[in-house]
Amino acid sequence: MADAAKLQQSIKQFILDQFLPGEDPDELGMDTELITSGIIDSIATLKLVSHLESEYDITIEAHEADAENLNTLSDIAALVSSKLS
Amino acid sequence: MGPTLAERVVGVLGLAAELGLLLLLIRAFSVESATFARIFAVAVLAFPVHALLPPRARLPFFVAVSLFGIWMLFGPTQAAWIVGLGSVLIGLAHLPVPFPARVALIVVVASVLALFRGGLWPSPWSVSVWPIFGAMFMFRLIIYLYDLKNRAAPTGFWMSFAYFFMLPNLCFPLFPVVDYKNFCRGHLKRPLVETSQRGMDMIFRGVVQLVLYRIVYQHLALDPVEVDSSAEAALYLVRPYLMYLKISGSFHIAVGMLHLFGFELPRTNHNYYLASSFTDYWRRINIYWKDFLQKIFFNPVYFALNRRAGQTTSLVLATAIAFIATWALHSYQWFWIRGSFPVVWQDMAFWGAMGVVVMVTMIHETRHGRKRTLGKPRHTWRSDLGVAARTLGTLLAIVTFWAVWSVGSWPELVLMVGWLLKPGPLDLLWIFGTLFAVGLAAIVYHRLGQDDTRKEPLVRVAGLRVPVHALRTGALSALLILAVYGQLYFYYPAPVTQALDTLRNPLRLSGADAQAMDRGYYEDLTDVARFNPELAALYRNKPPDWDRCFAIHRTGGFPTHELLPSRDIAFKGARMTTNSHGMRDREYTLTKPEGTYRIAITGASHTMGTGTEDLESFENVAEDRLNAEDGGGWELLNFAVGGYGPLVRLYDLQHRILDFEPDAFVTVGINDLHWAAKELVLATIDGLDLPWPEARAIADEADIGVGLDELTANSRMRPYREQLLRWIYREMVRTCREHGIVPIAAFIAQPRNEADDTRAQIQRQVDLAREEGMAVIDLLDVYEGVDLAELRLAPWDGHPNAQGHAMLADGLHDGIRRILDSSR
Repeated sequence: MADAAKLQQSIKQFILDQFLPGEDPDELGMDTELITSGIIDSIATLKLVSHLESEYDITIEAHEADAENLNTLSDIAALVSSKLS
Repeated sequence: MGPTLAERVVGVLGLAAELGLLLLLIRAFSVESATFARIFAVAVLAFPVHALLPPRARLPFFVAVSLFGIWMLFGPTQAAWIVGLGSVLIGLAHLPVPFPARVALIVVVASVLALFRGGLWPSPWSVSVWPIFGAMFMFRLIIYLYDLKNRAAPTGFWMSFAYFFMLPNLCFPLFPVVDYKNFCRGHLKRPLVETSQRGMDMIFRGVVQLVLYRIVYQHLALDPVEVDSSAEAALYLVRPYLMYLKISGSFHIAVGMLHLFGFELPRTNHNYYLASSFTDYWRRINIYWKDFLQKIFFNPVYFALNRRAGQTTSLVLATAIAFIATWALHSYQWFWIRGSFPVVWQDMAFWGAMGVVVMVTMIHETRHGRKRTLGKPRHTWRSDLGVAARTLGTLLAIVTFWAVWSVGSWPELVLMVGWLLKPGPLDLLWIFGTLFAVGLAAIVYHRLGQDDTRKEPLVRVAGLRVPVHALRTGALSALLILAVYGQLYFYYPAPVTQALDTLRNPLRLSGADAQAMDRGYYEDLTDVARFNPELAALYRNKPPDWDRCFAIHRTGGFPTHELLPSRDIAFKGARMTTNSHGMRDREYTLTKPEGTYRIAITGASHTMGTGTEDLESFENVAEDRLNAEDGGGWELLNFAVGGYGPLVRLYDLQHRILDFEPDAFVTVGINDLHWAAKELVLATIDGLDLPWPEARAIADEADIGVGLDELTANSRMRPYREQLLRWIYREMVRTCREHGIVPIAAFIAQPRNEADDTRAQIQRQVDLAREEGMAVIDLLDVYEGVDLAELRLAPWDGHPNAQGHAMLADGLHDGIRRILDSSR
């Protein structure tokens, strides 16, 4: 449980640093829509995937890089967790 | 606790009523083809049934409705071909063999189909099938196989059939590339009420865009040869990009219709004219296409390379491949819809330039990021100016690309640029005024915020909680319908009616104009009539408003109706304009010009030129020929109005035509005996005030009075028909002679075979006219020796077409020469 929370926090911090510098961290919730709301576009998605792959030593397939897997912090954390397990 | 059945029924009926309003709106503005109106009507009828079905039955029901639509449009044989061939392709995708083998089999079958499509082999099915079958499978099959391979979405008979044979595809050969995964996951994802309401908003937005497209298409069209200013050159270059409204509008409607059946899907286009960068543009225009490319080409290439070649190299190569694929797939799409594979420099230049600028912008954004925000962004005058400048820069670049893409030739482009470089003061005012307006719009748009995912507030109506946007869409639709259909239409100030005429006018440019002014990839793919006459014929069944003439005004007295002055409308598929005197004719002065021989012609719909273009009516053709032969000196004034029989023509002669000082008067009859009796009967039983005691005496003698039923009145009138018509002709002759006018009666035939008794009746009116002193032009046999079907306006409309009018014009011309040359 603690690992999951840590994972989510780490991903959240990356998104805040890379794509939302200066934004209030409390505004970014676990279920904030990232792709469908336009916060993360296709270029940002590629950056995020690169980060996840290198940070967690996982491989994300091309067909997995979409809104279904990366739309919210919860989705992203779930994808990473499934790859790690 | 969920809603009760009664609440559900009331909610669904409310939505169905809103959908009914959209159907009326589509009909009021003649949006798209007649077949679209029919397919949309099917969706409207199916909607409440679908909404009240249990969830598990909804998908099969949607499939059934879609298959019914195919059958309705194509008939049983062609529908069987479409569904049969499609089922083979879907079946191959599911064969229990390794995936590469399935793909190979599909490629083989698709190649065989391509041989049929390319015309190498004659296909056993109609060519009308191709654009729709191609639209159903050319891209969706690729996505389907991709998702099947990656097990990205559930498969099943009903979902697969729903995906490929979806109902709205039948009306739009150029169809958004719907993603299979989104299609599956969006189905019944939200409550149906919410999804269908979102669909109706999309449909409304689509209708508005198609109506705006009409203005661009008809009123911003310029012949390059006629361009003679910098502002016109700018308009000429901007127009191709504005024409994309057609695609955007039809995509909104298509996806909106899918929402009605529970498919929650993303937007297809989103305020693309206000894109503030190239990547932003790519994210806003034809979004499904961008997603398709990203899914099938960009991401696989990027992910494969990124781990070895690094981010920038991967981005460059993946973007290059995505844009090469875009170019190739546009030609591939053209092939399945039109049958040839074009390779032209404009396409390559357009997609090449787009690829380069998107690539550069992507690399820039990757390195420097772009401003994103979670809450409401802060705006300063500097940020506003930045937004305006970026939007204008993007717009100007995109307009340039589109202009190059659509231009006919290099010299044409050079000519336009030449004009652009020679602006006058007024041109500069126009150009910079427009740029200022766009910049301002960009600022307002960004200040208002772009988040349309927020929840709309609810209001309570009759105990139900209704989203505000439902009321907004319904109210705006009702307002537009009332504006067009309400009787008030005829009393609006002229500029208002003219603006409404413009918006609801579905005319196409004439063939030559269209060739000259409507080049462009999308125009060539959406105008079915240009490349598939068979499918166009299926689409063109009698349009719903075919018989409604928006230039006719009901008077409430006698005559019952008249033409409104200075109108420019579409009527029975042709452009119909009226002059300032309310004639379907050119402009004439009330006072006859010196040295002119003026002929007043009156009659009914045939003489008015119903269904022909303005200058194709037989009256105008005869006038042009007379003037060409004599070097001018003739004026033929057309006073004819649809539905005017001999009694109204007499009234018109005595109360209007004399003011124009004609030298000759021609009354054109088809079956005057029948129409004169009918006119007197209707005027009498309706209690209309007739100015002739003689006519009232005939009605009295026939024992016809106010309020009598029409059938009895017609029966009583029958023995008095000759007496009435004889009196009308006599009165016409008397009026003419009192004013020194030559009275002429012309008789024309309808392009159809008449029964013997009708023939005798028609012949009798000719004798009566002669006996009462009229000169006669007998054109009853004018169509002899020609297949009458070729002369009709449409299979469902017996008015003569332009060919028929040309034959009538010859007859009228010869008659006028014979009768009047001696008296001139």
